[in-house]
Amino acid sequence: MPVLSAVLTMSPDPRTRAELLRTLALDPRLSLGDPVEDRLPLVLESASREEDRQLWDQVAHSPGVVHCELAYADFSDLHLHPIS
Amino acid sequence: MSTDRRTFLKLSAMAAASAAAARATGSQAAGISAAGISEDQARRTGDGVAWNKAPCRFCGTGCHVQVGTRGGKVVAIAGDQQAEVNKGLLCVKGYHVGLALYGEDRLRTPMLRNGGELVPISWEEAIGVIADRIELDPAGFAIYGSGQWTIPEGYANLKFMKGGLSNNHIDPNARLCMASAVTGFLATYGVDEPAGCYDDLDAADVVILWGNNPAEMHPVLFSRLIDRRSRGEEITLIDIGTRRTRSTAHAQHYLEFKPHSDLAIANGIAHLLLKNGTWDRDFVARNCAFRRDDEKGTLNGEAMSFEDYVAALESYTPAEVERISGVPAEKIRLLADLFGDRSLRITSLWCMGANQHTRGTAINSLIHGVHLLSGHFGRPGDAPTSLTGQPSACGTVREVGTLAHTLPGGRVVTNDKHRQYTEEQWRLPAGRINPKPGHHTVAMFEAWSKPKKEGGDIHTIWVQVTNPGQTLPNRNLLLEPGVKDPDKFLICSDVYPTATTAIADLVLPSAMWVEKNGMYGNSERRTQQWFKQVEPPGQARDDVWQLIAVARELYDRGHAGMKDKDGRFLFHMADAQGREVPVWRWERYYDINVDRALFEEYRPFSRLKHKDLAPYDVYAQARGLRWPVVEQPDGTWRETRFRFAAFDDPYVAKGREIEFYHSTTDDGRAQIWFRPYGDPPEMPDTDFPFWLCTGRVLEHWHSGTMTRRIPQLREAMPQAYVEMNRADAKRLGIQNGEQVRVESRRGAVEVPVWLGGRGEPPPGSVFVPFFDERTPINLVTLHLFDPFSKQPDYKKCAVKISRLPPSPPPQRPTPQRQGA
Ligand code: SF4
Repeated sequence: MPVLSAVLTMSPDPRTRAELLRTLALDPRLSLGDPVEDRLPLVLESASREEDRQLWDQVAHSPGVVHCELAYADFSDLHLHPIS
Repeated sequence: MSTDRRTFLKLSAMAAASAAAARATGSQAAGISAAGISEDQARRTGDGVAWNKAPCRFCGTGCHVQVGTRGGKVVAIAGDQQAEVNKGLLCVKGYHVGLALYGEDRLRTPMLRNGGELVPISWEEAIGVIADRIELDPAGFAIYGSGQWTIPEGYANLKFMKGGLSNNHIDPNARLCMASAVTGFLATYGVDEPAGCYDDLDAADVVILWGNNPAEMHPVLFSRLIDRRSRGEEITLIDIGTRRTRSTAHAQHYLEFKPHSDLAIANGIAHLLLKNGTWDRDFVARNCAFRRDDEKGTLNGEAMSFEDYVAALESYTPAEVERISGVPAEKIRLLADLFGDRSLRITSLWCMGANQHTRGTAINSLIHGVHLLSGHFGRPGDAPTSLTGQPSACGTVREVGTLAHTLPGGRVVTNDKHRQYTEEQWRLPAGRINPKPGHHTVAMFEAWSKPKKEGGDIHTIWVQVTNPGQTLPNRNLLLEPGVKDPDKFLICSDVYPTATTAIADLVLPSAMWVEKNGMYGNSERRTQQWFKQVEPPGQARDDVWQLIAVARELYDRGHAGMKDKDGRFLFHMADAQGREVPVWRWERYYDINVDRALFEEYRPFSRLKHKDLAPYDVYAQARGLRWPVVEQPDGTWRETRFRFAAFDDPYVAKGREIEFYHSTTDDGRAQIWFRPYGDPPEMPDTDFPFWLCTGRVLEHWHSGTMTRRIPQLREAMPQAYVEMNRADAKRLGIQNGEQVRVESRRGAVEVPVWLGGRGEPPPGSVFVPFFDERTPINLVTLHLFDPFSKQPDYKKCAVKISRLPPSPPPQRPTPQRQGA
């Protein structure tokens, strides 16, 4: 169950930006933070690695997203191969 | 996962993102810890995750991450809020840097090839085998290293080879990615590495990408530009390239040039600056001289007069440059007008496009020359800056000096004083260091792949932290004959099975990244440090330990080179009480901090070229510092952002605004070079009608050894492909996704076609990434190299594209070593 957070750089166009915020807010797997100027912090929660990847792609390619960067990733629940 | 824990994770994740957003926009973010987590939250939930800093393992941008560990494993990654480089942000590869440790096929035990199979052996046996190979003929032993070597790893290897074995056959994979940048800096300023830094990207009005795609290769760096623009700042981005990339999508101007003709473009800009009278007379009169190649082909060439320089550029009119390069004359004028405007700040960025070039030194020096001629140098935002692909190509290869001709700190083996100083520092008898440069990378593998009786003087290569089985050019020439020759032996230290371990005779499992202590130096002269945070798997061990264990085995066998002039072990290390610590025994290796000892031994070397480094413990507290790092009267250490500029560089003489204090002409001047355009050594013809360019993709780091083990990255970019122009595909009747054969005079691979994918090559050219070991494009590439840097050209050669019969033959497997 990966939990990651990202920082989106949003389009400077106010209408595109508003539409982006509206669309993202509809997805229950996303929690939006308070925008700081053109930057939007958000948390992505998913049920599996596959969904994590798909969700990241979906967010990164949403209309109005200029750039998408990662801030935090927790993968403590994933099966990691033993160390010895 | 409990609700509490999940809530905590979400809170932590949101705190990190909010802090990074605030940091990136220059706003305040109160109450956030280094990992971006509110310390209150962490205390409340007792999460038990320990956080520590480390630079990212991947690219030369050198972002800092906070590594979260629990129960002996890395369980979380956060962008480091305190890091100037990335301000709390990471690209998609940075997130996966933690998972890169946990591929299920990590190498866990030493293995020796026996009857064609790799068979587990003990470390003692493995160390003994290496010592045997060295004793066979120490002069025929070579080490092939890496820009991913940590600084102490590179330093220890250099000392072992040049100080211990009197053997200069040590060279790194960085020869393949940035050697031309080094020769470009040396020829221009007399000293290596960029004068500017990443801060230039925050101040530039114009950013020019010379054959560079930072949107995919240095994404966090590129985001600085995107972010400034989305905040309403005006930045002109110009992409000078041979194919459209993700960076092109953000550029106002895309100048598509015919491969190799970037030299003509640079000369065309200089021509117009002179013709229009917009060059900076004052800057040039005070700070520059003119230079051209001499008949002997030396790196420093010969002086030329200003009048000769003007005359040499006479033919590079916009019309002529358009004819050579295909770039419209008005775009050449646009570039010249921008450079001719001193009110603007201009930063040039380049990486492999300019470096992997048979005229790599020439194009590097011409880019510097355009900046110098126009005076776009020495102010924040005015800088010619080369980027590196690997995390420590600068810190280890260029500064420590792990090339075949170098000694630590910018010294060279051919200089008597440099050898003498190094011998004194290493407490060696006079004359121990060999004055003859060793084999550079291509020559090293040629010598390994040639039978001894035909002059192939390398019998054994120890490969560390790199994968030449996939990344050497023209593999059929440089590798395959050696693989079949029973006299030749290949040792490979790595973390996963690779195309190199598949042909190696001895495979050694290594610790990686935060499984060991380390130090890197990134693209902006920033030296970074981290501590070991988790144990390596199985019997995997630190690369420095592997080397010291071999050195000690030789010492115990009586090898004179492993002793200093007093008979002490070459890697003598002592504890705080002065007692020798047997660090060659694995169980004692971490009794002291070996990295610290090696770094402190190396540090005095850094002063000759004014690349002063601070003590190890200072780096342990910092998120990297940019050299020269100079101690202040109050005992603090000050880094330098802008070199050669009086306002920031402490080594510029009083009264001068700019001083190139390592000038090759000893007069404080940089050299503006004239270097003519000439055709490349191989061009498309009727038999091989396409240009081939090779390179990287966002998801995979170089040969994909680490990133192809990460399911998300593998799924996002599962295999290599060939990008083609749609018109070419249509003409040849090729469909999107169809498997085709890409073939040169040297070899062939079969890959699917991707039309309208990541990049868009122009008609007559194709692009294939090199990350996929199943389709090794370096069977196809050219091994010819730049005459000064010896760096091969992976960016252009001639190929043909053929459709396959309906049932294609199976892929050519990676060759396996026969017998041992
Ligand atoms: S930009 Fe480079 S250094 Fe930064 S997170 Fe990505 S791969 Fe790592």
